Amino acid sequence: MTKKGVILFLVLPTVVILAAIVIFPMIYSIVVSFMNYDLRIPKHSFAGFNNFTGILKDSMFYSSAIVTGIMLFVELVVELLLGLFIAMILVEIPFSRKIYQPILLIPMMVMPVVVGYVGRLIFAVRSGPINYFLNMIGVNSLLWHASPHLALVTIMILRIWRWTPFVMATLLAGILSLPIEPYESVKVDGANKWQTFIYITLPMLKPIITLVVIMRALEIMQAFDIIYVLTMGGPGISSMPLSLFTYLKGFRYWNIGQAAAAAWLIMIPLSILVTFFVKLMEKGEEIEEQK
Amino acid sequence: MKKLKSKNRLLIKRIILSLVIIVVVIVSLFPIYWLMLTSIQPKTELMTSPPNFVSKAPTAKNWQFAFSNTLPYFFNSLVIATVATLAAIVLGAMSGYAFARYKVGGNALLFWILSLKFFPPVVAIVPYFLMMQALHIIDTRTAVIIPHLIITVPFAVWMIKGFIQEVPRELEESAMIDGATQLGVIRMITLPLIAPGLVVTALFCFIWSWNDFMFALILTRNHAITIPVAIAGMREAHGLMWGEVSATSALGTFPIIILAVILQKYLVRGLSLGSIK
Repeated sequence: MTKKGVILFLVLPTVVILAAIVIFPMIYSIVVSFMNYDLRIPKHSFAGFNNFTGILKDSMFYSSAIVTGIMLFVELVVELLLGLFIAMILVEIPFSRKIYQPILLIPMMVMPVVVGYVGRLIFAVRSGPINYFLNMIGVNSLLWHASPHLALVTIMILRIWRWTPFVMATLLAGILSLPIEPYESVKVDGANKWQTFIYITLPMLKPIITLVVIMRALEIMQAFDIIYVLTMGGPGISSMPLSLFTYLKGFRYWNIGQAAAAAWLIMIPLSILVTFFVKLMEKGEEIEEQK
Repeated sequence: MKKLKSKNRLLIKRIILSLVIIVVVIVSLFPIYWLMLTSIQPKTELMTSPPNFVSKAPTAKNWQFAFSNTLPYFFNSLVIATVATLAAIVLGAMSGYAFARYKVGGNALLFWILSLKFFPPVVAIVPYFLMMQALHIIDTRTAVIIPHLIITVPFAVWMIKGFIQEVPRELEESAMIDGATQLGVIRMITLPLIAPGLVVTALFCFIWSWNDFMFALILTRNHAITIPVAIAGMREAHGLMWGEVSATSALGTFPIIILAVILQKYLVRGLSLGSIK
């Protein structure tokens, strides 16, 4: 085989399969988003932009966009601060780090559906341990996921529990891989711990923090499993994010055309983030090649 | 004297920090403990007020239920995750090699594949549902495996490419001089050298496929139901089967936790797509 032949043999199957399972469904999805799709009848009429305007006129679309927005903001801030805090502590206790780190990563491996189910157990109003602890310190029992005010908070607590380990582990690996020279030179200058952190550690961590933020944002915007199990977007629509809204549109109200249209609207911010992510990885690749 | 003081301060600081970490460990493990506890409690101990923090009369009944009633779902999950993983490893090893060693289609093709790793399932559920229905393969394992490849294949390509880049070219070149063919070199030299990387990549693909909920939820009904869908469904159908659902959940989660602890050394690399080594 020629060199070209070998390369083609190696790459072609992957490219053909990916193109078939990604591009074809995508085109199909665009077609569906312009149709009045009704599963009960075989013929589907052209709908123009009706599905898109239908979604854009739907107040539930906006309320779920707000829910997704709140999740993005709160989870990113809390997970980053908490993850950085725990990572910095682990840096300070190098000897016991090896014992703690694998344990701290366990939440990340729990199946999201199970996290939602465990949420039902521990946040149970009458018999849950969380309310029991609250009562112990003199706070009245809360309704948690059954309350329109706290449902989203409960979901975010569970999601922060599951995902902070990822942020922590990535940042910790980043901190440990930083060069030591800058630290030595500021030590000579007499900088204290806090100054070192603000002026040396954080700026050097910036690329990794950016990467973590983008990866987390992409996942948060698709949040589905835990919410499906715990609240199904309720009570009312108080904890309904965009992905669940799309799912329910298509597979509960059987408005397939509008679901496809909603999915494409969600795709816009997601693809911007993915582009950012790819650009960052590309930059990393170039640095790697120069080495 | 001064030295002793600063040594004491360091010790006190470490103790305080360790205490903080122990609190974090407790918070991390408590929900899993609670799941475990619920799974071994008899009906009389469940959902009581105040809650029981230990079981006074543990029972194996729930676990027996999980083993005898959910085996078909475990089998489905196992088949789907295994096929989605093996396909990803084979395709990933082939094209990962090409991307690591040659400039194929500039960087554009490689980064298109990478971007698919983040392909949002919510965009694909509508076309996949309609396509699988038209092909009459809804509620089969094949219908779930195909969309899983969108995530596992790009991930495998990217990871394996990174591992191959770490194998020095000279090793391959010397084998070539000895008369081996290009494909022979890949099979006999390169792939054995990155075997640990292949295992790690495979485990990540497996975990992703095993935990996936959205695709499996939409593309299955009865026969091809996977473990996450079964767990979510048990909740709906039988509101009061706390013990049984807990045992099934634990059974579905613990293999993954064990796998993860084994590969924790590589966890960060896998999670950050090799951007941090």
